[in-house]
Amino acid sequence: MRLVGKVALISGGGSGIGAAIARRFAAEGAKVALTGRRPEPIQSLAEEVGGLAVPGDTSDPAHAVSAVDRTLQAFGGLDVVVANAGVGFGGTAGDVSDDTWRATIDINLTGSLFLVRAAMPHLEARGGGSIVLVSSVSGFVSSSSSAAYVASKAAMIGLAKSIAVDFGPMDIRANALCPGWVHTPMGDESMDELAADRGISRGDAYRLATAMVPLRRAAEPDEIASCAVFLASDESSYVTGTTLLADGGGMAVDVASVAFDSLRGSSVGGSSVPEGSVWEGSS
Amino acid sequence: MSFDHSGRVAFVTGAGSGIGRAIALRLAFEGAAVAVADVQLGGANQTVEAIGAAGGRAFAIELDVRVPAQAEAARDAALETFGAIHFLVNNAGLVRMSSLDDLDEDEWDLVLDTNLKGMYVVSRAIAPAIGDAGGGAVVNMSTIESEVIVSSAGHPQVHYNASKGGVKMLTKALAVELADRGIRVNAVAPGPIATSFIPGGDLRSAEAWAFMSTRLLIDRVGEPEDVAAAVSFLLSGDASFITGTQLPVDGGWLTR
Repeated sequence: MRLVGKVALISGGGSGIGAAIARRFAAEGAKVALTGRRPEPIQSLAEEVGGLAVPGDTSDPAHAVSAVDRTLQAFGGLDVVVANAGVGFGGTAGDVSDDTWRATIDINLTGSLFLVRAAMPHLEARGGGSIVLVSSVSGFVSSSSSAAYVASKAAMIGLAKSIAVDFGPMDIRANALCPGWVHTPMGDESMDELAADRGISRGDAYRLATAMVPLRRAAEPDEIASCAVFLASDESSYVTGTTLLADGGGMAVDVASVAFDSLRGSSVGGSSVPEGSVWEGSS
Repeated sequence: MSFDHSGRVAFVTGAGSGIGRAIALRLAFEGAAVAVADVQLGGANQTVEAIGAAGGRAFAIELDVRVPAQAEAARDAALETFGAIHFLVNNAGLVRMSSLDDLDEDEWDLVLDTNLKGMYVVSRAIAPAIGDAGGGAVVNMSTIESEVIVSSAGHPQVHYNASKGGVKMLTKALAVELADRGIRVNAVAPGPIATSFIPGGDLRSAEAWAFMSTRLLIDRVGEPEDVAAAVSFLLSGDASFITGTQLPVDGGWLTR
């Protein structure tokens, strides 16, 4: 029980990694507040874990302020912020539309900023806290036709470092959690594309995409949530401004992103992910 | 304590003092049986006494990590005492400070053989046992000085930096090679930790703090227990999807 007495606000808490984090945090003794675009999943999960659901648009600064305020009203303070809400759209730097680019940056990056900015005075008021930005191995390496997603995830790593530098003196730590492939709705969307290309099942697509990852599988969301617990808890009290990779070893080998692309048949200049194709969920 | 390592056996090198002792104590308090290996048996015995006083299980082994026959004998002793090995913490290491002009071959060999070759020697001896136990995890002790040269400290240590840079890549290579045996391999990279590791160094002195406080984001020198917490996490099932990484435990030293 590593999060007893702590209050955590988690964006994108309705499914995938965010939902797993909410469950793990609650199991570790935290009070959790969840945000998400769709009300039903976060309300259902909030009931399950005795938490609070605040539906809304992550890219709206007023929503972030409201989510923080309602968390304070419900639980009397705030100690941990997990900026997890995210989307992925296809498109290269040559063909990504203005709307796709802006939506991706607005939700993944600017939405994280809004949440952190709204929370910061209240973390300071508690005498410190921990911020976890759920980035991705895509913050380090690029798969094909994912310009906006990759740029947003790399920027989240920079944002975490910036927060760590500026708010370290207030005992606020900030780190980026960087998963590889995870069995989530977003991962499923990607695998369904690969599966359709290859005429194979989703499960076989996951196996193909992770064939060259040392652990030879995608993660379960709970395996990422357990990393978030470490970063949120006092166990990591001397860890700040860094990235925690949870990628099955993919970044240790030279195929962290190549595996998926080569199997998907992408080539330079090609755009195998159709413009407008959406992977929605968390991370 | 956070993780339940009961039923697990950990083999910790350099466990007779400093960070290694903190790791051995923590793993024991979390239920693991610990083989406490150190080149200085006296220190290892003290660690074992502390574990025993707290109700934990441990035994001391004299081990110079540079010597394969000693590593194999230590492994056999651990297997005989506890029946299996699940975790290996390659923590033994040392630092010497010499400028290139003054760095003789013996000192280069001492540092490289202890810090880098020692991890190969002990890993080669113990990895098969971890595989036999159905898998487990390894954590190697690196340092922020595997990433940057802390030049303003004024202590040239090309051999130490080279050895720890080697540890960083050794960690990735072992992670890739041992994955199919169910063994995860990671490194932790401590920043300044209050131990007697640096000869003649006192990280708690006002002079040292004046320098370090310009680098650290967290307003204190690290404690061995900070590193032990990260090691325990990386060994635990909570880190089941983490392998081949190096986690800084550095108060934010590498951030800016």
